[in-house]
Amino acid sequence: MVSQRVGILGGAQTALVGRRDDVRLEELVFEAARAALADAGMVRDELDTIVMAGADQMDGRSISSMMAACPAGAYLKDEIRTTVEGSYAAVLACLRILSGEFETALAITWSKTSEGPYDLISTLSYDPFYHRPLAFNDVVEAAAVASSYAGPRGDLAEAAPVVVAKNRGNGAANPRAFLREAITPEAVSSSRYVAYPIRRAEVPQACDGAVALVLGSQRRALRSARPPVWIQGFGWGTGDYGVGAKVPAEFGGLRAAAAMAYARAGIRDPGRELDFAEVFDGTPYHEILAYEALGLAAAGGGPAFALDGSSARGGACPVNPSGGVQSANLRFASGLSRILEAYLQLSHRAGPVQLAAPAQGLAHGATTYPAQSHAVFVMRNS
Amino acid sequence: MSDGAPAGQPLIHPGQWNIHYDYAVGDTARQFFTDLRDHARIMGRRCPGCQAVLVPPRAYCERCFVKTTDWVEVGPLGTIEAFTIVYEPFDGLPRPPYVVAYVTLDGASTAMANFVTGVDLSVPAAAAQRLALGNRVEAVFADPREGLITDFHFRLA
Repeated sequence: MVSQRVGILGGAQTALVGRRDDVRLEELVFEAARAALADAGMVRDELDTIVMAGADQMDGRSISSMMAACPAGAYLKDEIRTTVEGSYAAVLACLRILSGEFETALAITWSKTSEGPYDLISTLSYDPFYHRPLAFNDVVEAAAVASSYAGPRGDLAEAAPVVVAKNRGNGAANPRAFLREAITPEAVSSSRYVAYPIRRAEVPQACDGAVALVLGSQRRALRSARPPVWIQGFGWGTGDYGVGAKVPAEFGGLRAAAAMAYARAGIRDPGRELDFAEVFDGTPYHEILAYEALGLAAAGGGPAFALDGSSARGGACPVNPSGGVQSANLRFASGLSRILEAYLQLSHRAGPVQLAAPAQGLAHGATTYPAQSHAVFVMRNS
Repeated sequence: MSDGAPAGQPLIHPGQWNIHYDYAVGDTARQFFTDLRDHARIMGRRCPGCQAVLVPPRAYCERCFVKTTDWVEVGPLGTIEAFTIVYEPFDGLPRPPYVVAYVTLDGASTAMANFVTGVDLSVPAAAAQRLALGNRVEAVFADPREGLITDFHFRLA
């Protein structure tokens, strides 16, 4: 249990578009950082530390934070970068605040993968001896992992198109989403296989954008310009790399992350205590497995949780009311976007996708498609 | 969005990385690849803690966090744990369609990935049924072999 809570003081996301040619990477970072500070009603002088999440190979620059730090607000300030997914910027920023050394932090991440051959770049993550010569990339690995889930879950292939249709329907109403057109489950299940069992309509087109959150200590948050949203608990975890495990990934990292976040937040029955969740849904299989790993559904009950409408708007626990990654695929950065969407819900500022009166929600980020590492945040508005 | 800049066509500067690496395979994997090349056999390493047989071999068990010790021959038969049939082309990957699967070879505790050949992939549902989890496969060795993971692949047993 954390005795001190971290508060979210404000946040912003740039417009998400397929390709941003009017700004270079650092200008995109600057845009998000400025907007987040403005949202929090703060100026750069009030920031104690800047925490970035980014990956060089995706940015096409080595040590890309060298150029991104100052446009993120770090000129002559404490700054640090993690090369884990965007949600880890929030993990690290919370830890730095809880250390007592910093009162405020800007957590920021970005994704501008339109500039490079992402599928090819993703092959670089694989073990050069045992995996890389075998034609793996993010989508191929995710498909293999999805097939391993299907064994004990006969209704998985039926649930996957329902999840895509749900999220794209939610995203169609969200002005912050990138893909704004709804799609029917039938259209999803009649689209071609990219890599069986994953279909073309289950892998969302990627977009460019940047996301930033301003975080503060409990003391600082109590005098913030806006009512803060509180991070009640957070956790993170890393599972096996594919080579070491029998089944490539059973979301062990997510189970560990959720257990840690729930213990800190005092959550015993997540399905009842959480009013909504924003989770990584790079494919619908990721979302369905997250239902189980997060304890929203029983083991093996993930597909039914989607098919009976429990995760839809108006269901027992709406999942991805924002439209999720299916509607806004900010590669390697979407976790911070999930936290921002949860923050906006709990601030009653989510616009057309606002839920009635959420008091407590969850946000989850994962390291793109193989999903080895996960971060979980439990957030409250009181 | 571009305040103060006149409208115009985007300006794009090309960039290219073409970087060669010489990856050290390490003594443990060197032995594995040597056995594969010279004796057409697949070897795993046993963890003295949990007794798991790690295939492909690792010099350490990341769960017990100790060095692995003995070599154990595994396979050539094994069981499918996960698979995919790739139907669309990707940059840098082979021409589709093809199958990659994770297979737990008999005697091993972990699954190992490789291509699966000999399955008619023209009808996805039918192909997927033949590749279903739990189905048996057999390692088939190339001739000649180069000491690479592609020195073998799987086919349905």
